[in-house]
Amino acid sequence: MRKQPFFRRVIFPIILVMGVMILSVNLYDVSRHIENRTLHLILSNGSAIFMFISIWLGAFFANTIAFFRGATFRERLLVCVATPVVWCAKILYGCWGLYSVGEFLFLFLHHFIIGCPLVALLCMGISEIWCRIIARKKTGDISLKVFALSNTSLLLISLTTVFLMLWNGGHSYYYLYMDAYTKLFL
Amino acid sequence: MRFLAKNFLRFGPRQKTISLIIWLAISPLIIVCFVPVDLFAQLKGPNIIFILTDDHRWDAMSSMGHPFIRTPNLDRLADEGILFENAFVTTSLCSPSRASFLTGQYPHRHGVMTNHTPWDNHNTTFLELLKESGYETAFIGKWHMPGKGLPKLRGLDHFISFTKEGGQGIYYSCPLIIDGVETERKGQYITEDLTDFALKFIEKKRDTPFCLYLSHKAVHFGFRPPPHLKGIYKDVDLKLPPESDTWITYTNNNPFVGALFPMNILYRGYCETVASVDEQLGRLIQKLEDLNILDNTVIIYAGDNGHFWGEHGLYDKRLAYEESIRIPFIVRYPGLIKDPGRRAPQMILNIDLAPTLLDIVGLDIPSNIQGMSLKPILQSAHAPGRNSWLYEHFPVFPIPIPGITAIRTRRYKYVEYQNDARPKELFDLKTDPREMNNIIDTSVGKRIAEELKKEMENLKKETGYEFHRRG
Repeated sequence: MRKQPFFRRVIFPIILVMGVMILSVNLYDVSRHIENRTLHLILSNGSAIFMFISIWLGAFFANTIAFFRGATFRERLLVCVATPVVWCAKILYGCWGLYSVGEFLFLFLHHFIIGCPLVALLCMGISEIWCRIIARKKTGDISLKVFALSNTSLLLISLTTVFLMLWNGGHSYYYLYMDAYTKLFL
Repeated sequence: MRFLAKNFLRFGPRQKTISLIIWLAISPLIIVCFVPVDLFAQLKGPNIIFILTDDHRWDAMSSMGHPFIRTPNLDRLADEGILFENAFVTTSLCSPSRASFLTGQYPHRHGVMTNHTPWDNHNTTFLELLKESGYETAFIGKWHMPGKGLPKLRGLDHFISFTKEGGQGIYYSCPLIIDGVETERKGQYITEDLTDFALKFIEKKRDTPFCLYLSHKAVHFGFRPPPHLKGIYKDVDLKLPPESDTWITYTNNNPFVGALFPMNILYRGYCETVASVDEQLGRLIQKLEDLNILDNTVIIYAGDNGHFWGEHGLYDKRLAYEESIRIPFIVRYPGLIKDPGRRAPQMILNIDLAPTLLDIVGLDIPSNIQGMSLKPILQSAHAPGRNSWLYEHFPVFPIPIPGITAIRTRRYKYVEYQNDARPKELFDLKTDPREMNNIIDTSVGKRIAEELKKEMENLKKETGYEFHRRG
């Protein structure tokens, strides 16, 4: 892929996904105060879907854009986790001061916190497959492996961790996490 | 009788003595044959059944005017007993509230301040006191208090509970610990399974009265009704409040923010699970009727806390708004209630359960119990209730809701948050029952807030309140 300038290959996909997130979060907040029921439902449902997609699945889009604009693997990693990390920072900010510093740090392992960038990495791992297949077809470059070491290991690691976290509807991980919390802090 | 008396006078001294002995011997038999069996039961003290559900908010039943949930058995209890329209919990969270029901104390006193702070087995439960006075006791169902496994609770003849998923249990195939023995319950639906155990306990032949503490997992999250009730409300208009989130993606510092979780699907499941609890309550009442002990049994039904379903854009509980802190509380006991069907407006609390039961049975109420007996209110509609009470909530990891203290009077509610993490709140419940307008910054509000603040400090002193951050 031809390497485009840093702004176009890295900053643009980040801004795009994060912009959708910021817009949809605010729209969702505003929709609650709209008295017209139909408009409220359209806005809240629409913005909720975009909020979910941008936070949890945004890496599909961000990675695809960054890939075809020539971003390196490390740059694509950054592009994919940027929005989830900002989102998690927002959530964590709301918890600051409620618990001890140790408890606050332990909060990072909560599946809604650590799970968010992990799902983004899984999305990246999946999108890498189609990006590489398309790129091979477009460029005819057969040296570009669909399952290279970097993206395959990323896919396997993220898939395994996300699968384990979601096992039993997420209950197993949650209770393991809370057991660890009890042992460490109480 | 005249014939017997006439002949008795004709008897000689020996005959008189013999006939007197015969009379003395057969008279108890005559009494046993002609006096109603229930009278003996009354002399022994009433049986007690306390049914506790999880997250069942006060208005999720037809007798409180819910738009579509049908709860004929709860309605029957209310029609034949007293429905307390202003029943509250001192902390809107499972474990603290459960410990308060058992001990009659505030969480800062019994020590179970959050779902993580362990149960202290030095606490005395009303079950223990009833056992000491001769009751046969059973705790069946959700214990859900932190600690290693189940405690060796004093005063229990039977203890059937579960520790699965941190003590929350699961709706299907939930393994039970039956008097210390872990038992698989493959394919069993938990509300039905626990009711089966309750029925077995009730129908057991005994010479003493019994006290059954039946504590359901329902209607907690998971919201799974049994198959025959699934979908009974699928076509109804849910009538969620206008400010409700369609998706539980909260904007109020909730950890689930950004996750897809349709509110309407959860709410339908909740309502259908309430219907299941009501159905099982019906089985219980029927059994008492069949055994002819219904009217000699004190039945109390309550929830451990309320639940938001979109009000204030919220889901779950913990906060001090009405939807979270109000619970259903119904008492049926014809032995005391002479005006069945009454709606009691007095403010009552979960900590009132223990002293009420002890009072009904005629036991002394220990001085460390902080609740008050409801017996006077059960006997008379004119009995005074409390004027104000203290609400407390301690921060619970990992939920980003700060510690809360609040005071609720008959008309107002004043709320303070830990570290002023959120603005203080004052609501006039008479003009604003949905608590949508915080009047703390109005001139009237400022004056009332000052008064309530003083009152809250008094209540804190009175109850020995201390803020706890851990947990």
